[in-house]
Amino acid sequence: MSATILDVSNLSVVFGKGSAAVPAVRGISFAVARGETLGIVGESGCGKTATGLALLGLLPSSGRVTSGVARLGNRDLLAMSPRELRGIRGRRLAMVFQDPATALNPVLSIGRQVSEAVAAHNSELDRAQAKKRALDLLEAVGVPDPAARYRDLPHVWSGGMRQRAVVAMAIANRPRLLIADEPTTALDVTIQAQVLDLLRLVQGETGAGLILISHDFGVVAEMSDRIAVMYAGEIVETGTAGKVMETPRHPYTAALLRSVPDLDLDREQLEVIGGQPPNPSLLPSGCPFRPRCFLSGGRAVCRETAPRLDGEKGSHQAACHFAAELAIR
Amino acid sequence: MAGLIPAYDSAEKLELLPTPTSPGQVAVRNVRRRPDAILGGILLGIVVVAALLAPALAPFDPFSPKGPSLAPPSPPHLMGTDALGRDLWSGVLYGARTSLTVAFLVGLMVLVIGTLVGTTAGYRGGWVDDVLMRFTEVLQVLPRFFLALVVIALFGPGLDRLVLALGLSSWALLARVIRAEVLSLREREFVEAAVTMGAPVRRIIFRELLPNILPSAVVVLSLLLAQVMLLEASLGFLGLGDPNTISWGYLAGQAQRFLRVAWWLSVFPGAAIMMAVLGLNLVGDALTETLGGRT
Amino acid sequence: MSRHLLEVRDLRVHYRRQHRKVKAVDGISFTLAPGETMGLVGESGCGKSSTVRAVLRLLKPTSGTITFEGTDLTHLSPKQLRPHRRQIQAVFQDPYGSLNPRMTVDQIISQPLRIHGLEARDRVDDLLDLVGLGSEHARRFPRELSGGQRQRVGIARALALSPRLVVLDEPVSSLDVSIRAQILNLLKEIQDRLGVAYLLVSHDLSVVRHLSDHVAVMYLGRTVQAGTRGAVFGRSAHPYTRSLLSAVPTVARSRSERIVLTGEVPDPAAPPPGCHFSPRCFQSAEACFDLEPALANYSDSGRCACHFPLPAPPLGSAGPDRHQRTI
Repeated sequence: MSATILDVSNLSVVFGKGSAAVPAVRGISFAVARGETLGIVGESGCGKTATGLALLGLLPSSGRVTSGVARLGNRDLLAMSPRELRGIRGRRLAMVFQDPATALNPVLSIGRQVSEAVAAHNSELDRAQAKKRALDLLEAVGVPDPAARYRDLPHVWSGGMRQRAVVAMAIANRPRLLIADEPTTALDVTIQAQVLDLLRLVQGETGAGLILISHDFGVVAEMSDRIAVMYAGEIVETGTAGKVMETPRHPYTAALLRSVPDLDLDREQLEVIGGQPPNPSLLPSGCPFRPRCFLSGGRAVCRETAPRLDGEKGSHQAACHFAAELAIR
Repeated sequence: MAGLIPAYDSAEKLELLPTPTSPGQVAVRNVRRRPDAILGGILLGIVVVAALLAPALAPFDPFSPKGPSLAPPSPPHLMGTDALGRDLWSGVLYGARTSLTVAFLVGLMVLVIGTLVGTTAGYRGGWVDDVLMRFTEVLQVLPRFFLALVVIALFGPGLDRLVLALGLSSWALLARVIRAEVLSLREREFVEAAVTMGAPVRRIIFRELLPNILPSAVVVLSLLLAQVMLLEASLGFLGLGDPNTISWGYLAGQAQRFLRVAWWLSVFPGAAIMMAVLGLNLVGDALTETLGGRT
Repeated sequence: MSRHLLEVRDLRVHYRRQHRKVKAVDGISFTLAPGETMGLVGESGCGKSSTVRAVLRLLKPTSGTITFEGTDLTHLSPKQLRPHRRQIQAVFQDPYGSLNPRMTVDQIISQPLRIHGLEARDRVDDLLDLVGLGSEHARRFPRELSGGQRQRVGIARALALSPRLVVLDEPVSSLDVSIRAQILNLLKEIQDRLGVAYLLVSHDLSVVRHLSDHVAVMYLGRTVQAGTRGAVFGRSAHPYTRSLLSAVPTVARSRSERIVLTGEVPDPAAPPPGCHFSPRCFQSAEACFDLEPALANYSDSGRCACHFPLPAPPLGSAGPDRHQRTI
């Protein structure tokens, strides 16, 4: 039985204040084990990015965590002070974001930034030692001839290379948990394959847990051991990747899987989910997916009661009153 | 599995406001709420009302020496009188006219010339852009105050000369800002879409580019006008303004000799200048912050 | 008399960037018949966007010809081009950036009509209906609409002049996943109803596969493989196509079949000699580095530019090429 690295309970995040407050994340719970990849998938406005930011303590000033516990080891991330978080970020916990251009300081050389990432949590190393570690890291992430490119500024590197540098910075101190938010969305498909491979490699070697946040089902399906599907700030389905993709139990997951044009299948028309993803400040009563749901059929319970995730934590769960009917169809 | 759901579910109500709101309306609403904009607006409003209604509100002809000399504020001379017995309240009211007239006319010139130069340089690019920008740079370097002094020295004082001198030398910044906006907007897809439709260049400039440049132009103008007002007041202060019109600066200039004995002569015109300039700056700042991003 | 709607022959777009010549498009040729969809697919730097921009005459081709309905458009002046522009319209990628934020929906949709002096009123209502919007949207501004709705407005605008060809530049890339299906279905429906031809540009292979009748895979300004949809997706004869297909993460495929390319896409200003793809190719040989391969048929309906085209995978294999299964 693998050890649990991160255990999140009832996390809620709100943006804005008073009457203009918008609930971005509404009481979600999940866990990540050692060496495991949890894929959080959903569309814009579902709260997946806010989740990642909340765990890292990087919510913008307009956002705040209103409830929840996130245990990393034996400490609660959400209860830590900014100073304590700084001690952890880059060491126990690391992140890779979508746009490598913003993650890297444009006026410092890449080599220097990687060295800094090393030195930040290893004050006993001197400059030369930190540089050596940085070069090793750059080589490990597949940067060709790192010594010659150490002094390069970020803008001369391509997107894929920059993302590798960002990954190098993230793993510099062998973190226990990596959070990657859309790490390959801005990259070309063939480069995406390289970076995803790299993330897998890195995870294999360090045994870190990985939370992969993406809107791309394909990426999540390929990389994840377990998947959590988010909609309107909640987790509406979660389970092992195989089960969720092959036998989805929530109508949103099922409809989404059937609406995505697949490279392997020829379809005349795609199945469509009518309407659009909900505005977090104007959620319908009861189940948030109800207005777009083909399973609901207008039944009253969907309008009146918001469904909760059924089953045991860790099993294949879905938040739907009629999940059982889905299996039969 | 259920079949196709219609592509657009008309039962899905849009989360719309009751009436359509344009980006302009949103911007105005955002500005109206700000305390600095409100204050600035009030100050400016007072000045504008004073200017417009001067003949009605002024009990006396500001030039006529009818009243007692150096009388402190008291009815019927609410702001007192100067050494020649001229009513200060009337003077301040008519002074508002002068300030606003100069600001308005200069603003108009700057808007027209600056837009013309900026749009042409930004849209045409190439050597046209280079030539226009070099010319603009020269103008930016010129100190306007001394230019105005030179003009007055050569051609004598007068409102028309002042407006011309200031108008012809103040458009440089606006041209630069507009050029920058045009350069960035030119690459936007809605402009490409207009080209694809076969829209002639004139239409692209007037319908696609200019309306979207308007916010930046307004911001630059509002701050420019404040400067122009100060310039005009300074010239008046030195006695170089138009002798046929009352100017706040002139009033303040005349008051120098009587600083100790007649405080009202410098305080009221000074306050008026401050109100106008402060009002414009506050509104300009509020606009900068609200419109600073894209609409 | 050509029966092709659009014929692009040996199109080249070269420009200078910091004293170096960049060959964004380097000899692209294809034809498009009325009512069909041609998909250009490739990664960044492949030249697909520059190609369609040249077709739209948003930029000037360096050489080559673009013939539309028999007329050579390549060197026409903007004035001469105007009447032809009515037949070639475009839907752009960014649903927000492609709409003038200060115009209402009905103004945006009727703009092409007004530019060409045509009656707008009834047409706007029809167009709104065609793309699945209602009259309540007509007076709204783009900022009040969702991404999917804005893209519908862009489509309505593109159809206003009843063009025979619509260029689709990454039409769904900026949209949420659950909205993409709506727009893709809409595009197909419109094509069925109106018989309009599409020139589709996308980096998303599944979108290209879904909409296109013919496909051209581009790499560094050149076509590496082209043909009917079945020919290209059914047999990825060019190693780049095969790598591209296998790189796409899909739900059904397992990761063991992935071909991961080494290296980056080269700088278009300094393309490798010989076959541009040779440095990254998993089967490159001596000849590949010296000699540029020409496009040649590998089957009845497919051409590829490779000295060693890959054979079709045997039936029933688990390779990245799958045979079409229709649902």
